[in-house]
Amino acid sequence: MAILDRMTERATRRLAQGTSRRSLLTALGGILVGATGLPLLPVARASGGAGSGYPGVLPQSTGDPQDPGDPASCDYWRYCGIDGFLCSCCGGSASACPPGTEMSPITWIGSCRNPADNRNYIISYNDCCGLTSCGRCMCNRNESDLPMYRPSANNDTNWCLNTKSSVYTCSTAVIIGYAMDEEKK
Amino acid sequence: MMGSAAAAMIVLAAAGFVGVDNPSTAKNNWMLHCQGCHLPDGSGSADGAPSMVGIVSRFLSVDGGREYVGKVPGVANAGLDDTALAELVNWMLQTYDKEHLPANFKPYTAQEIGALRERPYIVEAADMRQQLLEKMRSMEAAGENR
Repeated sequence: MAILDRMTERATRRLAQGTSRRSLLTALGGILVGATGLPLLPVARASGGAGSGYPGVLPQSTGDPQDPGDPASCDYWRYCGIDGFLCSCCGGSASACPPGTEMSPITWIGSCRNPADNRNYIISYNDCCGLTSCGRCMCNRNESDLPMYRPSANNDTNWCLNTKSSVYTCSTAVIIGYAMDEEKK
Repeated sequence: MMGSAAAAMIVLAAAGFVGVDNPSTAKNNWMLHCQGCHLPDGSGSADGAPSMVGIVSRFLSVDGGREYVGKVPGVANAGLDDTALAELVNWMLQTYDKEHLPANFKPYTAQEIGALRERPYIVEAADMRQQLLEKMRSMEAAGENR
């Protein structure tokens, strides 16, 4: 028992003599500053969605300099007339449906300018159908979208037509050709 | 110069489009204004936009058919001017149903299309189509349709 008493006394005295009373404040201050600095670390930024603009969505790339931008971002050039959830965020891509869904053959078609070569491309906004709405990466840009009385160019329609299921899941933006500039006569 | 002009005529004739200034423009407009519903190959869908393939030019051989093609909502309401629309219709007839094109086929002009689309079908298109298809069938039965 005496040994235990002596050891405890010596340890306590050493601690009291070796540290200042303010070290507690130092430690607390360090924790406070550290806690506010934590969200600035790259790990926190990735889950914050700084790349694509959507929370929890990591940036993507086509890997093709002729097809620039992030397909998981609403700013991606092909999405200029889209209205819906981006299939890129739903297990598919800008031109493919997520597994378990079916691409609608009936679709609306518009054109977007590719910033890489400054040409207009014809874009087919095929909907993917058959699973519940994806709910991620809602994107509504509406360039060249026309009102309902021009049904072939309206993107508010559910284009899940002629598919097994008419339940809308998400939207793609498939390049189907070059758009020729209007020729003036 | 004359030689190259003649060669150009031959090339145009070989391409085989009558009443189409630029087939690429017509195809471009088909993609932008039609194929979303009629599909890239013109085959349409069962309950939606009807098929063009092997049928559309036959309308030109029945009474009222030529007007019908200019007045159906998809044609009349397309967001194109009369010239571009006439070319598109001519291109469409010759692309999706060249075999049924009447021997005396006259391409649509901008004026004709312009006049037809001023009075477009609104709800009667489906009924008109059925009537014209009936006419085609009775013509076939009578052996008038070679």
